[in-house]
Amino acid sequence: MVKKFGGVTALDEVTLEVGQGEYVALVGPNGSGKTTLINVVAGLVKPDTGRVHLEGRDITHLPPHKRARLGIARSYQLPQLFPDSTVYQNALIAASSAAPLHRRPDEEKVREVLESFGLWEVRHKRVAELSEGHRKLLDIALAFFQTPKIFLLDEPTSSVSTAEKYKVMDVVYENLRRVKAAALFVEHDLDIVRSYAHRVVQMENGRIVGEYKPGEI
Amino acid sequence: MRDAYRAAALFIALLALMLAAPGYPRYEAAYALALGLAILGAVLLLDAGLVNFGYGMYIAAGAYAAALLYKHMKITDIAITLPLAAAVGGLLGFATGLATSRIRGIFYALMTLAFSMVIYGVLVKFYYFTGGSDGVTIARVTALGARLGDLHVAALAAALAALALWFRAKFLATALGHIARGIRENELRLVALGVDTGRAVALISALAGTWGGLSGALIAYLTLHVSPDLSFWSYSGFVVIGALIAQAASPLYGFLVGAAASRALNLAAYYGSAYYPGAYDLAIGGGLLATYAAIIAARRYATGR
Repeated sequence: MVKKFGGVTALDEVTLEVGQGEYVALVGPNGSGKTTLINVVAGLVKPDTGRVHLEGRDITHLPPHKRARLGIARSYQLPQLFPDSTVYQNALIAASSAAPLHRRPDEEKVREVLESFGLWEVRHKRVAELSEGHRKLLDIALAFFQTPKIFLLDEPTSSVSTAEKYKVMDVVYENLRRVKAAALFVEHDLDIVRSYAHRVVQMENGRIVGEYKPGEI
Repeated sequence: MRDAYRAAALFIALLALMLAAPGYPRYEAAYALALGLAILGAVLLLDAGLVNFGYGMYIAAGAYAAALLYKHMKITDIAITLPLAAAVGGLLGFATGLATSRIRGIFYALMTLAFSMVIYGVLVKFYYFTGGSDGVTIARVTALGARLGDLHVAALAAALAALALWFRAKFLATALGHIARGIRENELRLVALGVDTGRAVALISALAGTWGGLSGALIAYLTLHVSPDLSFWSYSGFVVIGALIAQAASPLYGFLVGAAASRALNLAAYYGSAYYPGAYDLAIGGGLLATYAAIIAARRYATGR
C-alpha cells in the first residue's frame, strides 16, 4: 500500500502479512512509517492505494469501530485511557463496548481481565495516580474486552522503566497467547524485540528494507 | 429491586408533599418536577459531554403533541396524550441525535440551538395549526373519562419523577450509561474498542428527547396553555443551568436538585423582570456564569488544584 501526507510519502509500496498467532516487530528510525502502518491497519488513516485484509476479507472500506469488532485491537504510544475515571471504571467502559447497550457490562470479565494484567489491586486508583507501567498495561488490557485476532501495539514499553519493561511484555504476551492472537508491534528496544518477536521487519523512509529472524539483529 | 424501592420511597414522599402543600406552592412543586424530567434528559446528554442549548424543542414537542390533540381532535385522555408526547419527543431526539452524531463541543451546542429556533419559527408561523405566538389553550386532562384536578396532576408529576429516578439508576448501570461516560472522556479510545459512538449519541438523544416530551406534556397539563416560548433559546438556557447543577450535585438525585434550582431562578427572573425589564435574560446569562464558576470552584476545592 501507499500513503502520502502532502509531499511526504509515509508508506511506499508496503506489503506485509502477519500469520495467525505470529508476533511481528516493526523497527526503524522515527518517521520511517511504523505508526502510519499501524494506523492504516486500524482504519484511522486511509491508504491512497492498496488494501487491508483480515483472514482473507477485504476490510479497507470499514471504519475503525467495525474493524475493532472484527478483532483488530490496538494500544497507543501515549496510553489512551478515560482520564477522569478509576481503573475499574475504565474497565467497565471497555466491557460495555462488548455488551448489549441496554444490559449491564460483564463485571466477572472486568475482574478477570484486571487480574490477568495485575491491575486488580489498583482498581480504585484514578488514571492520574497510576505509574507509567500500570497505564501502559491498562491501555492494553482495555482492548482485551473484545476478542482480538491481531493486536497492534505502538511502542508498548516506551516511557516504562527498564525494570518494568519485561514485566509489561510478559503480561501482554501471556494474554496474547491465551486468546491465540497475533501481534504487530512497534518497538525501539532491540532486547525486547529479540525476546518477544517471531519475525522482525525493518522500515526506512516508508519502505520495508529488511526482514530478519530475532537472532539476526 | 433496590432501584424500585428507592423510586417508591420518592413517590410516597413527593405525594405526601403534594397532599400537604396548598394550591400555589403545590403547583410550583409540580412544575419543578415536570422541569426535572427535562433536566434528567439534558443530564443524559451531559453524561456524554453534550451541552444541548436547544433542549426546549423536545419540551415543546411534547407540550404541542398534547395541546394539538386537544385543539384538533378534542382528545384529553392522558393514556393517549402522554405516550404520544413521549414518542414525539423521542423521535425528535433521535432525528436531532442522528443529525448531530458526529458533532461535538461548541458546534453541537450551536447546532441544537439552531434546530430549536427552527422549531420555534415553525410553531410561530403555522398559525392555523399551532396557534402561532398565542399558543394553544387546552382543557383539563382526563383519565379513563374522569377529569383530573390539580392534585391529580401533581400526583402524576410525583409518579413520573419517581419513574425518572428509577430510570436514572438503571441507565447509569447499563452499557450505554458507561459508554456515555466514555464518549465524554475519550471518544477516540471508545471507537478503537469497537463502539459506534454516533449511534450511541443518537440513542442517548432519543432517550433525552423522550424525557423532554414527557416534561412538555406535564407542563401543558399544569399550565393548561402551551406557547412557542418553550422552544425559545432562553427556556433551554434554564434547562442547561439546571442540568449543570444536577450533574455537579449527584449522579442519581441531581435532576431533582437541578429542577428546584432552575425553577427558583426561573421564577426570580420572571418576577424580577416586572421591576427591572431585561432581568429575565440577565438571569440566564448570570445563572450560567454563576453555575460554571461554582462548579469550577468546587472541583478545584475537591482536587486541591
